[in-house]
Amino acid sequence: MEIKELNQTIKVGAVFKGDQIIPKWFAWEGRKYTVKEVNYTWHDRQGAEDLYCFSVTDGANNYELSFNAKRIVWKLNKISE
Amino acid sequence: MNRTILHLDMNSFFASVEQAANPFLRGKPIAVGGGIEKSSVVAAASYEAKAYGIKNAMPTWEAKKLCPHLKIIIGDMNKYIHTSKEITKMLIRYTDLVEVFSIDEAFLDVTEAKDRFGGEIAIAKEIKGWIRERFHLTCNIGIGPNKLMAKLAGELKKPDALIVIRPEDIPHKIENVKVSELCGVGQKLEAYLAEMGIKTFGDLHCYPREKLIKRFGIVSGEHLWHMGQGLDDSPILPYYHETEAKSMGHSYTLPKFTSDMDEVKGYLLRLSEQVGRRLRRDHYRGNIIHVSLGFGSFQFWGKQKKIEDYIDDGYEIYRTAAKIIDSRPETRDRQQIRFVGVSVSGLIRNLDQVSLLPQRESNKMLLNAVDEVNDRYGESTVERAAIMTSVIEHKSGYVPSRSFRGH
Repeated sequence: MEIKELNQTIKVGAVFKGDQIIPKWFAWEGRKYTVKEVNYTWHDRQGAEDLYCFSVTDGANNYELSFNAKRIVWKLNKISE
Repeated sequence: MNRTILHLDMNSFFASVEQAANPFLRGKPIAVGGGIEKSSVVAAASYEAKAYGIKNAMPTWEAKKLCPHLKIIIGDMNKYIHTSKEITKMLIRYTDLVEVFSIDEAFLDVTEAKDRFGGEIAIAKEIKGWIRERFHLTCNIGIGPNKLMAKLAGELKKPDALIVIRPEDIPHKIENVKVSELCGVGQKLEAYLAEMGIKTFGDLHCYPREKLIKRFGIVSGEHLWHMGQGLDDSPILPYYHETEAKSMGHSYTLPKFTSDMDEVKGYLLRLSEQVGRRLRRDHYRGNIIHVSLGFGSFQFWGKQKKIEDYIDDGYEIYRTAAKIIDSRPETRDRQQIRFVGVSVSGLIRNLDQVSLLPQRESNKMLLNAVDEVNDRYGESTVERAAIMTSVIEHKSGYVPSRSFRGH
């Protein structure tokens, strides 16, 4: 298993439910990945900007996504495959 | 009045968080650390890794030797800090007497609150259940009549245990526990006690009070005797109770050994800037600068200098620190360095005097402006050109700010 740092901006489909954000799918390098499980969530900051971080799996690999609430930008930060 | 104290200790915290976050790491020997470089150490090992004899603070190369398929994970402090804060938030639902002892340990005084929640064991079970449900993590909870006994109870069996030491259990339930398991007994004290034939809690319990006082003095001797009786009246220091900082510092373990002092000073400058930033953020200034260098075989050298002014500017800290390094004995010059640390002590708070020197005032305004930019856009958005020059000239002189360890 190898962990790669990517930090790439991606498209994500997510459900915003109350105070929860639940990523459902993301598109990366021309492929759509379905989120089977959100394993872990945490909060980070980049200066004054809030980042909501998610560790998710599509069943085959694990991915770390982050959502910058101020810029409305999703990133794929890491992949472990 | 009898107190009821809970001690919560997360099991292999950093490693367990990584395993909870990534199902492909579950059930595997992993170690959270700084990387695979020779000088990096294991910050936390999973239980599967511990089964191979891997311990926290062990050099990574040694851990890899014990378990060649050990997976090293670069630590993500934000993940751990967030988890720790969420757990603290949950604990204060029971009582405001919660002491955050470290990132993965906390004490709760439930003496007054326990009856409202069905007793201390019901509270402990609820806490364990919540942590498992929310984070898929396990913890140990020790319950005792004071902090010393609660913490000891939590050490008796790992992982995922709930152990109670009641006053009537002392000493028979814990008489065979090693004295080193007691909070406050370090390696040196353990060795002194062993010389006196005190190896277990039972030995300490029976040891004459006057002999302990004769050997360790009135304060330490009395303290040890109380420990041996299972007594400890230290209060819970609630999470909202701020303690004044005595010093602020940062240190860094280099990715490789070096004797290039320009490279070492590059690290020193970045560390000094980080210390300055923290001092300004918390409104402290200090006038004692301490530098430490680490060499092979765990040898360290350190020296401090007291200066006239109280400072919070990273570059001023660096200039004093660099002078300290330059004053080292020549015999040290050829040694390979692998660790650099700088700290500032002699701290005073809220000393914001207007300087009569215009240069100083304009420098203060500049630092305020830089801090504002970095607060807004993230650390290192604006930094001294000297640090950037060291990136270009020395390559390894640059270290991401998150790699530095603060205290």
